[in-house]
Amino acid sequence: MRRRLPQLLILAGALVAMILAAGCRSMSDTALRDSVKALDTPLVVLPPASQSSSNARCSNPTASLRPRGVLPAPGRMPVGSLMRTIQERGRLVGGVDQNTLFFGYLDPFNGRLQGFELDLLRQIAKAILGKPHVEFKVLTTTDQRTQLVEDSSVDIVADAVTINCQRLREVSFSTVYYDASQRLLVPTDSHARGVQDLGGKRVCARARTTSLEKIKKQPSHPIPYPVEQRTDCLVALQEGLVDAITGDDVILRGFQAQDPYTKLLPGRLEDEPYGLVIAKTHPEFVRFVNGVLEGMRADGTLAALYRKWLGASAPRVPHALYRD
Amino acid sequence: MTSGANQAIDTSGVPVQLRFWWLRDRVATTPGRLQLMAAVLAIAVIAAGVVGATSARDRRDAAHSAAARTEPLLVQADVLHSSLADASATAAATFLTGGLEPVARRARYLRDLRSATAALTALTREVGDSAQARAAVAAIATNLPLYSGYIETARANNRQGLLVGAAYFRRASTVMREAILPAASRLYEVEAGRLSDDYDAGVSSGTFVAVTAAALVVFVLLALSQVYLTWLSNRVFNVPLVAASVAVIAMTAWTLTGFVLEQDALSKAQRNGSDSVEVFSATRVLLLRAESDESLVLIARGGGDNYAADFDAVTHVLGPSDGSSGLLREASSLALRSGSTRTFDALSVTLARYEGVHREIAAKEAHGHFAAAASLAVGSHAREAPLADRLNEDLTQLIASAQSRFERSAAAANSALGGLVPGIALLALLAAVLVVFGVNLRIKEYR
Repeated sequence: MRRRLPQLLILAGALVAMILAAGCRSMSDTALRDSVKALDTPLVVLPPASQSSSNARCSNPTASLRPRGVLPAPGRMPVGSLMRTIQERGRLVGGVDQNTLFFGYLDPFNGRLQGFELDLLRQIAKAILGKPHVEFKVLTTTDQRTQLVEDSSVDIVADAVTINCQRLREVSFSTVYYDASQRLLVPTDSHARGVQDLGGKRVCARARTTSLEKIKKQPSHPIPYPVEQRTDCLVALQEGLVDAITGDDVILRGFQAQDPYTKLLPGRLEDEPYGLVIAKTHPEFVRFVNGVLEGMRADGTLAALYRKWLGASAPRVPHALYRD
Repeated sequence: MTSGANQAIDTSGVPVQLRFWWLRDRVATTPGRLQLMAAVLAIAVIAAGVVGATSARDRRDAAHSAAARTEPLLVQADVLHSSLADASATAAATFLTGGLEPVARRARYLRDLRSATAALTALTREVGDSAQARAAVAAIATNLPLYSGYIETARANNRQGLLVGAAYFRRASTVMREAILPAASRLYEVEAGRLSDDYDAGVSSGTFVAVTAAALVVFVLLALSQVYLTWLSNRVFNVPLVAASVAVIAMTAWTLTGFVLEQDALSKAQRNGSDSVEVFSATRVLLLRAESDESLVLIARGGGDNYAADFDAVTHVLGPSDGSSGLLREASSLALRSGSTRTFDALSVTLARYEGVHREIAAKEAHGHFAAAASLAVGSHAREAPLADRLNEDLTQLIASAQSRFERSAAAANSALGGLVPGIALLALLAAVLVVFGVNLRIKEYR
């Protein structure tokens, strides 16, 4: 027995060594932790751009720069102008929306972007290039409408942008191409007759727009409900999250066309003159675009586009206002 | 006994000393000492048996739990996570394609939802006491109906050509990406943690040390007893005591051998099986996320910077397709370890092609050629979607073979411990009886 003991100890020792070796191998494995960590890759959400909230005053924001002389012929843009850059590039880069029926939208049937504002940009491209070559960039946030023009990602934006003093500090506008007005859309069973009846009710509007600001200032104190994209308001209304939508009449008419259980309330909350957004650094392009618009007003092209997209509800074509 | 104890009088008024008379009487005589020795030896042998049996039971339970409960749950968590990710990618691709919804894609979306809800049911039953798992299951259970509701509303609107369908789709996407998929990810982590706990318990060196230590104590006691008996009589061996020693050796050897075999099989199950399952399923889920990012970038038509950044973040975590870093390096070394790298090599080639097509799509997208980019990504003549499907199939195959490796090794781990607990109990009892019998033979000589 005593002679056997050391042997047993050796056997036990060997077993201990084996087991520890096996244990160490399995526990040193980091693959498991790595794969779990990889699944934890956080969803990338880029921070929203900060916006300046200054209340700049200006006397007449819709007055733009007057076109100079006769428009240069297509393909013969003056050297050094933005039009020349566009001509050499071979296409105009324009920022538009893909969610606004009639104005700029993606047709679900054919998957194509179309609308009044896209046709408008095509006309401008035609005046520069002789052919309607436009690269459309879809804008998804309100801030992009001015930012992308400022950082030259797009040449021009046509996205139902209201001309106002605050925006004029950052960008330039063409003359008014459409006179919209801010209205209210409610479900057909709503008893509200105007904004005065919406005190304490939730009213949806696109974030960082003039419409939202206007709702915040109402004496009846509706509760503003901001969303990123315009059609999100219609979802919010259909889901019962809001009691009304406010926005520009043309956009609300688009919603009404998609949901017969809504009605447009009478009464304008605000005038919303739309202008094309152009960088402040390119006054020559502003003048050129105004010249194109002037031509479209004169030869009836603009009125024809109104009729094509808005039919009977098309308003009058606004007159151009200049500050020089 | 100390002098203090000698003087101590307890409440009954009987001196403490008197209450240990039986011990004093036994220590005083040789037969008494032998009786005491038999008792101590028997108790030590039984105690060693109890230590061995409980250790074996703990390990058997852990190995059994890994094989029959926690690993299958991990698989369910992966099914849930990847089905949801696939549903999300499929819905996005359908939406991007536009027009009439392809029948095959609709079927795939519905299949994904079915398998996700089935897996969720299984996981809910076994949610246990983890607050994190409960919260994750609740988040998925409450948001999944919302998601599918939004998707169906989006479809109904799309079929009528109404733009609001796109807004419903965006809402569905947000619910999926921000609430459902992160919860599925957390649930997967909980299940991976549970499996890891089972592995730790199944290979715990504590049980090994306890069994060895108990066996050594019994050996020392048996050896000392043998020496004492030899000194009392002239016989070299007390045969029943030697037999008891053999029984204890057999018990210890069986236990430790069982432990080593079980441990080896269990670490094989982990290294060659479930580790691969985890890495490959993480890869699959991340690829599906990238796929859905790609569609969302193109749906946003220039406004999808978030999704493009997410695509880049995901591919960065995956690492280059040759497996030189990132999660794919992990995957490639696991594939190497399991012997055959053929499937992984194929995967790596497909991934490189996928990334090539992605670069083409991104370039087209950057120049505003959305229709061209989209038709490269999805649709009937697409080049990217078939590659993504192939990657998915390759990974599914890798996961399936890793899973069967796991099941083989886990079964081996369980069978290594088969019959060990009753075996230990029987041998310990036998040894105890032999010890008492052997010592009694000597005691009888004094009567």
